[in-house]
Amino acid sequence: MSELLLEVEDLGVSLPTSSGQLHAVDSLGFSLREGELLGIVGESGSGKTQTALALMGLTPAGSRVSGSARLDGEELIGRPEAELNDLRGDRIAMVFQDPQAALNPYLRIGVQLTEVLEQHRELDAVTAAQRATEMLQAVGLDDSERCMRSYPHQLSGGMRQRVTIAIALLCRPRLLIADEPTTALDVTVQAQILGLLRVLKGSHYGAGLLITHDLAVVAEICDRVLVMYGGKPMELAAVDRLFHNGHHPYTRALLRSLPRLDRPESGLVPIPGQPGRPTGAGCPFRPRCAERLEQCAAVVPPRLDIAPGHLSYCHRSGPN
Amino acid sequence: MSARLVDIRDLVVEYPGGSPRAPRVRAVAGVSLGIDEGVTLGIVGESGSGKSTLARALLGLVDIQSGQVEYGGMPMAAAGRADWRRFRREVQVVFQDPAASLDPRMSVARILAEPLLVHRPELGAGQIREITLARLGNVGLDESHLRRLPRQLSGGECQRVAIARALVLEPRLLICDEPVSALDISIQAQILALLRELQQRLGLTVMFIAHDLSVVRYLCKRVAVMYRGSLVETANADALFRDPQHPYTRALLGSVPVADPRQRRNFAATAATFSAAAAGSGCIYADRCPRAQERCRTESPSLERSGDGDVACFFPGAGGDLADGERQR
Amino acid sequence: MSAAGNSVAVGATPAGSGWRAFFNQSRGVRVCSCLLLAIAVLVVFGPLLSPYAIDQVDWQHIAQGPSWSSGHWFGTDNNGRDLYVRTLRGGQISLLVGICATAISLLIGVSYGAIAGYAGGRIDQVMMRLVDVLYAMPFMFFVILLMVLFGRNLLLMFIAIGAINWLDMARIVRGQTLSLKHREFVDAARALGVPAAGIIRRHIVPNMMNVVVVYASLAVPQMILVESFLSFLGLGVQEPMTSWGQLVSLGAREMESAPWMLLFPASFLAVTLYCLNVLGDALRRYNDALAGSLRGAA
Repeated sequence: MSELLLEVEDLGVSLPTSSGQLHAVDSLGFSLREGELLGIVGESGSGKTQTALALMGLTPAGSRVSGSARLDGEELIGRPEAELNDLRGDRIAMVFQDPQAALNPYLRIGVQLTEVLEQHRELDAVTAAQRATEMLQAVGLDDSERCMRSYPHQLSGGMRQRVTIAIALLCRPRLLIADEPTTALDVTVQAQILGLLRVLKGSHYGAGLLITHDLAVVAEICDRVLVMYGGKPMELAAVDRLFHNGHHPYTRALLRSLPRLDRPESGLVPIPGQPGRPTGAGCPFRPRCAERLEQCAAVVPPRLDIAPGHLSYCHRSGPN
Repeated sequence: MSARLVDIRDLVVEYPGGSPRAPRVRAVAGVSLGIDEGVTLGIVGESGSGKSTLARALLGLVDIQSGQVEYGGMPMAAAGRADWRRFRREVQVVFQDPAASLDPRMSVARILAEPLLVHRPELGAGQIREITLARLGNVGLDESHLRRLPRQLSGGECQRVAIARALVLEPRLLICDEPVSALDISIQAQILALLRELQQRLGLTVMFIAHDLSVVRYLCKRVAVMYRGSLVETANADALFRDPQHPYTRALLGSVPVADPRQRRNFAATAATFSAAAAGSGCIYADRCPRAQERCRTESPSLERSGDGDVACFFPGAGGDLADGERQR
Repeated sequence: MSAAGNSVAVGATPAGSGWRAFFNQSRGVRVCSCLLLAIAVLVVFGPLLSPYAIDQVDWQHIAQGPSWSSGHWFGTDNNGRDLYVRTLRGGQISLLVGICATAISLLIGVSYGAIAGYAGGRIDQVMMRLVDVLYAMPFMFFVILLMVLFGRNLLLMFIAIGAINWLDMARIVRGQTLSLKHREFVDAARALGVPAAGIIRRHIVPNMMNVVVVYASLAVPQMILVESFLSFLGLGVQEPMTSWGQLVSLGAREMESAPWMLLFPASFLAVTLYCLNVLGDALRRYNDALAGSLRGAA
């Protein structure tokens, strides 16, 4: 019985804007077991990136994070910066969307890797270089020697992303957060990176959060899925249940609106309106929901336990 | 049998290399393609395939090194001013970044009026307004949007304005360069549904460039696949997706995840290699192709008829080891 | 995910955009704007308050200090002319020169720079090399030569001084044009068949105006200073007209015996230049904030 690696309760992130406080994330709760890959899906304004930043302690200046996030029982929210710095790169690591931006263009790859090891593991140069080379091999960069000596601009986009994954996994983090790791990559390269993330799970990182807007990516490698909208959770379920027994109107509407490679004859039913910032009380999806009820405008939707491990935040109880 | 609206033959487009001494980059290396009236042609490819450059070359936005483009039977190289005017009126484009394709200082009304001011100067202000409003209605926007500036619109709204602008002159050919890639998925769905509806209602001929295969499947009747500046396969959409002939097309299709956990592809975590130097002679796909033989490395295959489409491969068709054995970048 | 999916953009500064945000930037901005406005009003309407004319000689009060009773509020100069009226009328000329010269440099610079930038290639190279050559020339020398050859005509002065600054403007405008012409909305206009002149006029120039205005606002004090320098050399506007530069030149000579002759025009000149610079700088900061927030509105 695996212990909970990550337990998030009532997480909230509020950002200062010109029109007052914005609740980018509101009342978010989920948990993660060892060996699990949780996909967090959402569109613009869903709060998925802010969630990741909150866990890393990297939310923008002036923001306020509330609630609790426990990694192996240790609270992350509100920790002093020095302690968080020790954790980052070591127990929690993050892979970003743009590999070009994440790598220092002036340093060789080898240096960027050994730097992490020297900082967190206090290894000497030789051992660090060895470990770095092994890691590059593990992420599929066979010509690791050449890679170590190269500068980021000498590698292709896919290779750069492998490098950022290597850097993230150097210290065998408990939690790996990948924020849209394949969005900027070609589809053939995406397939490789997704395969890589799946294969390295468990051996090179404890559990993972995969943040994406692409439902197909989630279907491909995630074990469980959390759907967010307007900063709030909409539905949380095992991947098969979400796609085949989805409860929440947003989940179902989203699935109906996708163009399908496997079902070309099926029509596409778009969701009307814009993904906007949440306004006021009630359910943030209400303005665009085809199944909305009276109470959706004023009352926060309750948490429904559809099945073990399957949660939906909606006023409509019972299966669709 | 529909008429051939656009005929591209052996088109070559080059860009200067990164530095003054670097060799020129062949963005489009000898592409021949035809677009029939009323058909929606999808052009798919990854980055570096040259698909966007092809569109720009067709529109006359970049210089052509060699090759011919014929529009409505008329070679564009020999086109005079009047011919170009007609071309510009009948061929419209929708770009990828919705906000960037609209002048940030112009109101929606002015943006939509501009094509009319250029091509139909005889129209009065009242008529212009009428047409503008009608197009806005076509794309699901209304009068309240007229006075707004692009920065006051969302991404989806900007793209709708861009589409409306493209429709103002009632074009024959609409070129869409990745029109939904920069949008949220729920908005993508809206724009796709809009495009399909417009295409059906107005009988538009569309050249749809995209990297997302499921989007192409939804909108296009015919598909052309590009790789590193060359056309590797063209076919009817159904045929291509059901039974791709070119190894690259197979690899491409094999890499697309499906939104259904019961249809997992289980991508293998294959290794990446440094890209080989630009292939001299020989097939451009040879260094990644699992079927590559000696012949492939020395000779370059040309597009050959295969059923209702064309393939550029010495060993096309199903069978043999595929996607799994492929080496990736 | 790009910003394209989001709804309306946030304001330029935390306070929002528009006039209010600009003036709220700092107290300095508000103070300088008021001062400048006060000077402008004074310069235009002030002379009407005094009974004296610009070249009227008051034999009873030659080289007299400021006094309320005599009606010479700023005193008189060596020839008995009222300094109050002369200072304010001089201000009219100085400000006029500053604004008109800037306008001329704008006109020439924007056209030249936009054409060079948009045309690109050979034309651009040739045009910019010409600018480089002109830059190397001692412009002051030519202006002085012109003034000497053709007399001290006011219009000629506007043109000559404006012609000094257009080079800077042309360079800046060319740079802006180069970056704008690759933007997608310009491609869209080209695909529409808008002719080059139309693209420059409708799309390129309006989109660079925010930057150009900032440079123009900083050019005005520069022009005033150039005029002052010319006047100091004795090549400024002709009598009976006067300018701050000329008054300062005359006043400097009498600094020890009649300090008010230097004090008033110099103070006006200094304060005006300072305020213009502060406002120009504030305009630049406002512009940067506006551009920054639009980019970061994701």
